[in-house]
Amino acid sequence: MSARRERIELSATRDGDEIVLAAPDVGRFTAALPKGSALAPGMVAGTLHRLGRAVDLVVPAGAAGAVVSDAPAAVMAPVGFGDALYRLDPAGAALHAIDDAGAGGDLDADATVLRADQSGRVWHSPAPGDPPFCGPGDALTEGSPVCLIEVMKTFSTVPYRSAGGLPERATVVRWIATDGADVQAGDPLLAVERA
Amino acid sequence: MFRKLLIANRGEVAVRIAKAAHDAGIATVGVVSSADLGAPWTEVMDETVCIGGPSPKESYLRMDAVVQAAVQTGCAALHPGWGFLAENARFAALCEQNGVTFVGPRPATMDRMGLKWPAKVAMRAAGLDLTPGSDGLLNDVEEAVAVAESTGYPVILKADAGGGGRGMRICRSEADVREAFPSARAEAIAAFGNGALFLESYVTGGRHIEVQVIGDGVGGAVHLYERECSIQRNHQKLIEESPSPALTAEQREELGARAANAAASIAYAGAGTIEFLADPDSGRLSFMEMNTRLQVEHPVTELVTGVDIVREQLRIAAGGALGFTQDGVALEGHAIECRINAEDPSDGFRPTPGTITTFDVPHDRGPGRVRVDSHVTAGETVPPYYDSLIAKIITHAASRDEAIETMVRTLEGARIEGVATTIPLHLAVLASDEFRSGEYDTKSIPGWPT
Amino acid sequence: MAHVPLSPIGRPRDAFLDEASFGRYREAMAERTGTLEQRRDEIAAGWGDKYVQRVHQKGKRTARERIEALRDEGTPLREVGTFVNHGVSFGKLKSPAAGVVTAFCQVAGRWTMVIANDNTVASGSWWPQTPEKIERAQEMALRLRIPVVYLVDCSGLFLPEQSRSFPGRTGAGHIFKKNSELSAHGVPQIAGVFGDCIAGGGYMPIISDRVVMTEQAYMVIAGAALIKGAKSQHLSSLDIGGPEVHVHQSGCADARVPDDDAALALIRREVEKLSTPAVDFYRHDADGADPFFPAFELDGLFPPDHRMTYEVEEVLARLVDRSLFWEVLPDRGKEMVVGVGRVNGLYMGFVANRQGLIEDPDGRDGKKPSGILYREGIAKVSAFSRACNDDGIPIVWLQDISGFDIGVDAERQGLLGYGSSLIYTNSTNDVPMFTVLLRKASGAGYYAMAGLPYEPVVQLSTPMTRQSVMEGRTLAIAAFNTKLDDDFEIVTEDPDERAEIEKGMAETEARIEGDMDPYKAASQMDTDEIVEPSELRAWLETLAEAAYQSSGSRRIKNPRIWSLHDLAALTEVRG
Repeated sequence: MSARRERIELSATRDGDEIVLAAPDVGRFTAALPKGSALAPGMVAGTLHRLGRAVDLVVPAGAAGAVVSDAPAAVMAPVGFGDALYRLDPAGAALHAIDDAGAGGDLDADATVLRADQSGRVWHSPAPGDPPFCGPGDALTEGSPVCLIEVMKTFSTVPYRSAGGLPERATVVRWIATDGADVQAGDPLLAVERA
Repeated sequence: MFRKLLIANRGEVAVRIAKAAHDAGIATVGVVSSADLGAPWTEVMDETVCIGGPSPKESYLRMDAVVQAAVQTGCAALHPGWGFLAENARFAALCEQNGVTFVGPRPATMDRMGLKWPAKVAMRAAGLDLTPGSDGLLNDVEEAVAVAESTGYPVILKADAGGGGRGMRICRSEADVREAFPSARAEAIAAFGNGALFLESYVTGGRHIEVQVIGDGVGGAVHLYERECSIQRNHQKLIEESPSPALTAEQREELGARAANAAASIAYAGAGTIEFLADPDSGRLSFMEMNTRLQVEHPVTELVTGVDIVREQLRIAAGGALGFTQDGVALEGHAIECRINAEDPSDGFRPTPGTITTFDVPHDRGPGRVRVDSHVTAGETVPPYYDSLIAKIITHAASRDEAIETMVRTLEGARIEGVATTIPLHLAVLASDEFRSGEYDTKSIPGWPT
Repeated sequence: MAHVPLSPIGRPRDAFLDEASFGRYREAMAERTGTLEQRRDEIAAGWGDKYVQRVHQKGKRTARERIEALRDEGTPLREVGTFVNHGVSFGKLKSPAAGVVTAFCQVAGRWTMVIANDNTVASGSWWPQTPEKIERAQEMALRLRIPVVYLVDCSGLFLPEQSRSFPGRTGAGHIFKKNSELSAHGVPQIAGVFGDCIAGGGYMPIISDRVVMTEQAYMVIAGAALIKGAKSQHLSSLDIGGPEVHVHQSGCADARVPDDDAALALIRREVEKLSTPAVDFYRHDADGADPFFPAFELDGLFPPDHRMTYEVEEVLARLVDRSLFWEVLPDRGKEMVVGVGRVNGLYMGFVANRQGLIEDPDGRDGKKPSGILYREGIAKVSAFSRACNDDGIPIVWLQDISGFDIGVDAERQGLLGYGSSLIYTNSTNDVPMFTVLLRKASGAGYYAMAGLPYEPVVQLSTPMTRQSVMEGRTLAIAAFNTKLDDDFEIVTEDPDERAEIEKGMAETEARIEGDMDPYKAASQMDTDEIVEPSELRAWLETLAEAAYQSSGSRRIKNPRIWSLHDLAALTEVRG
């Protein structure tokens, strides 16, 4: 259920001592953070407008530091995929997380764990007595239902998403959250491996 | 005329469109994937915008990114080329919705011609013959059997909706039809929510002959004669020529007039191609489909008629009338096109991406003249993500024999190194008796052992 | 900015819903739609073959056959009020469809509202609620300014129940007031009289602009049975008020024709003379197109358990042309989706409830359930509704709502006030509004989203619709409040008392569940029609075309001057 504004991660590459955060798509870039701002993973660092829609740009894992580049002069600056939006002077420890392979590199240490995106009670089956949505050895692809999360008597199906470093096709290794368990947003649900 | 045009394609066709745009005084914006960023061919564009990653679905197929690029660079119009989004009506509608003129027919025309049965109904109404088969959608299996019995086997059952081969069955006997009908219907219902089926005679072989048409969008249309495209491998055309050696002058005029009339009847806008299949036995030409875009093989038509088809597309998209009448179209000489792909014909046509170290095609090996449509220069790397076409060599001469002769000499003199190409295949075909005599069809590649 | 920046919405079904779940949902829906189709068929059969034969023996056609003959070939018929009086008995008698067929019907390329007395049900007489059903259909035509065609064959009120259909505010006579209002607003009315047309019924056709009578038709204030001396003079009702009298002597009708077919052909010719539909003009040079993601999938998108969520964007994607949609104010009040899409080329505004959890910076875990109205969502919907009204964009309300947010914070924020503003907006809008109760239509949410009390032009339900003040469980909690603790658990430890309370709560819950049956609502005219989810797109096409058919009758701004653009511009993220 993506009810918040759509988000995409900026792509991070290393250029000498600096980190370059590049546009992950074509569009008009706005709400840029000014020179001197401190960026940290997970922060929203501007918005990209594409046709009638706005997408928030998120600083990826491992990319942290102070902005040393100037924000674009135009408020709605047209940018292309891969255009550099920020140059960062990295804040020490964060630097090692970005390997030289750059964008697309494995920035997520938890790539093999599917996490809850909301708090609630986990149900492995669509209805009591029904077989579970998935179990060890089952294949998961984009959109495969994994479990239900119940919050305030409302049930949402949790689909498998390959975002955040998870593979496009995965195999279930084991359940981490047991049937009926209460989880917090960000808690691991399921261990998977690349299929 | 438009001031600025976005070219929503890459490689050879992008370069071709840019040339027509520059000739018409229109500035160009190219969209490129990150794999094509900085490629030498992109230099013909006045501007480029990178729209995503290397694979087409990350870039050239992303309709919202392409339209956004057009909007943010201030393009008035967009030419889709061929392939990618060229026949995507949703994309065309998205362009129009955002104020960018789509160079092509109206989205509704694309919808109609993109659906099998509606296209056939429209073309039959306009006087074209259809492959023998059911008169509309089938009510039940008994009707299917009855139609199959009257047309003769083999027949093919097709789903009215959708595509991708789903709901499609080749049947060689009544038992086949009885077995295939319910499963094809169930498959179509599951996939498209619509189980309507029709049936037609399944023709193998025959000749693929297509007519180039241009319509003004308000009921006027002209034809630019036909192209013969029967030299194919796995439905991929390899060599095209115009005029077709299979038609008499009288048949040619009649086919052209019928195709133009058909295009006029649907108020077709811009350039389109109506494809016909010539029955291997009777030679009867039946309508196959209409392609609502520029075709790869359009240069042969341009050479024999002298019409710049891309220029006409732009003129009509900008609200203009046709630049000429049917009487003004004369067929002069003969043209042949060979598609040079980076594929190794001696190794099962394996694609051979890599760096082209030498690219030299002579233009002076007469008797005819030579046109080379290509985006490639020496030092260029052929990326593995896209189709393997690196050049089209087109020759034009007073006679078919001279056009063939010019082509053979040109291909023999061509030096393309670094990647394997399909030139050996072309030379073999051009040397074959079947090709020389004009007696060939889609069943086999003359001169090339299968 | 004059462009309406529609952009792609939705995903292929298998990207968000697996085959097995889709299959299960579809199967569960098929069970419900099977019932729906079966009930429609039963109602369409009227009182059955015997009565159809009786009509045929008189050389006449049945009401439904007349509609078939009238309607453009290959166009859909969209019946409204099919289930009025469903499940209700009058003595031993039933009144399928309340004895009258009312439907959007395309005639000569124009949408009309056809009102046809069902002559296979008690000779087309008027039952309790028949007048209300006719008036509702007239109201729809009045609001949309589409022509009305009356196919009259009515023996008058069903007298044993006259006290329930004669005297009240919406009693039979109100039909003639509606005839008059239609006339006063310039809406064309055409009547064919095919048989009996007695007493009050006599007024229904003659306010019409064209009245055609067959040789079997008569219109009388009172039939021969009530005329002194009629018997001795061998006077029949036909003698008293047939075409001989009304076409030639009184002038109460315009044309006489031999039979039903000739009358229907004449009516078609009259409709053809009306002004050309403006529908294509208002497409603003676009063509209508199907949704890119197919509408048939709507039957499999809704989980059968109403507590389970789905993605409303995917529903929208299957309702709008080419699955292109412009979401307006996407960043505020995220429990609601508002925006514009084309339906068969025509711009329509959509207001829909998101399901599942949405962001809530102030709440627990930063999330809160949607399907509920919060302050920002209400404000957003009000602003959108006002803008659409101002711009002349018809509004489609897609309800799946549990109600307003409640609690101390909600009251402090003034939700009553924001809600009232929305109620005021919807109550005073004059743009056509269409309400679809996808699933839950609960509490004040049902009102706030233009539920029937706010007089949408048409309100549609689905076979899974649940209309109620509150869900059964909630009502049981409210009813037994004094026996429950803070967590709504039963307080008492006494096993007998516990059992009694549990039983009472279960009964309350079950009764409410029963009352939420959409057929019951439709029978009582608490909703206009029940349609399958996969039929919704086609219904919206009809409604959109009807709403754009008449030029000059309502304000329809071109998109350049939409106030909606102002709303969007002022809330664009800029930084």
